[in-house]
Amino acid sequence: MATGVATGPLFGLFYGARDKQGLKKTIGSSLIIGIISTAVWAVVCIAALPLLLMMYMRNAADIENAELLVRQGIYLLLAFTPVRICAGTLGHFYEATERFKHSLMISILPDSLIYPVMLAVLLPHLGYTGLWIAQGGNALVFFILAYLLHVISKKTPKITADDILKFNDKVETAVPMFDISISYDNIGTTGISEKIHSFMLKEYGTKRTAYLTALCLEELMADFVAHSQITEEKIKRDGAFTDVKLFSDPDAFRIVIRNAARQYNPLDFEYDDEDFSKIGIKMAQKFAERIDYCYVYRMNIVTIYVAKADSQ
Amino acid sequence: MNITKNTEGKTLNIALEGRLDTTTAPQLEAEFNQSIADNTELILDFANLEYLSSAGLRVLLAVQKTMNKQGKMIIRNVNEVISEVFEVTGFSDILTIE
Repeated sequence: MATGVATGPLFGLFYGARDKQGLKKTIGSSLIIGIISTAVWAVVCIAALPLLLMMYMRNAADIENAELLVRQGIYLLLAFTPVRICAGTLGHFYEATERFKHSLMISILPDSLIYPVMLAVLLPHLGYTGLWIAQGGNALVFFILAYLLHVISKKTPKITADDILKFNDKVETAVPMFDISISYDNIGTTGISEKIHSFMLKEYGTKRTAYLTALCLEELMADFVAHSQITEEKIKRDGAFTDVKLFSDPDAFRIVIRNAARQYNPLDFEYDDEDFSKIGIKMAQKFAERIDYCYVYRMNIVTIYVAKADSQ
Repeated sequence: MNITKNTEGKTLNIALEGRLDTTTAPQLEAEFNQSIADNTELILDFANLEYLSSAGLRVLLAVQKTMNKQGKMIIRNVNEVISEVFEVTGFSDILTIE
């Protein structure tokens, strides 16, 4: 569950870049880490079980009985854990990708509705076993019901990862204004800046907004080129690349630059008034509404927001 | 970027057209290195300069330092946005802009 929470910012980040591959990779990593950590904790709990029971139970006969029940509970919960981890991860995925109805359903229904019903049905017949099954299996029942609803509504038993992980309709049908991958050199950097400048002059903002968007992009990318130490050889070996996406948000134009290279934060510098060494970044920071940086999955990601109000 | 130049006595007039960015800045730098040695006045006309990035600013700073030793440098016809770039970076205090 904790990994699901921890991956929330990553989901938000990749969703911001409309990067489905990144999102899928994050979900995969989250599930693997969740399952491994659960298995490790289960082993620890089972190993510590006799000691824990001795601390809380005084009667030896009670201990034997309780140990059996608790062991049964741990095994049953463990068996259902992958499904519960899926539910937790998907809940955070839906929350981060603005599918709030799905997020609410997956967060509330299994525990608040399905669990009490299962408890009421199973407890009288199976005793404690029923309790463990209801506790661990409510997410599985939720998924089964959701799948049945899908089959009924879509009239097909087939369901793909893309069906589960798709964005909401408004975003799914939208495309970035500008989406391009470029080679890693200065020609590419200024070429893309020039293209964005022309594109924005023609399609959207005023001269000033077009200029500032192109300028901020060029300054950040030129800085990456200067510091990431990417060579042709490294590009061939590691598949290094830089790509740029431009989005039109309600209040700002948002540029996302992703650069698969060694970690380098262009915003972490000391400005020297004498030699103007970081004048480009400093200028971009002054003109942009905001510039964010993060490094995930061996990618430097810079997001630049240029306010639309600047165009007035 | 197009660079047009003409010399009147010891005054060198250079008009820039297009973009002065990471790619074109070395071209302007080479032009300065080649042309300004014998001049005491350098006048840059930015009337048709559409875009200026930090790479261009660095070239302007270098040539300003050179001209400080041998005469003066004046920049004319700066458009509104480039003027804002000079303001934000503090270059408006270093350069002579008319």
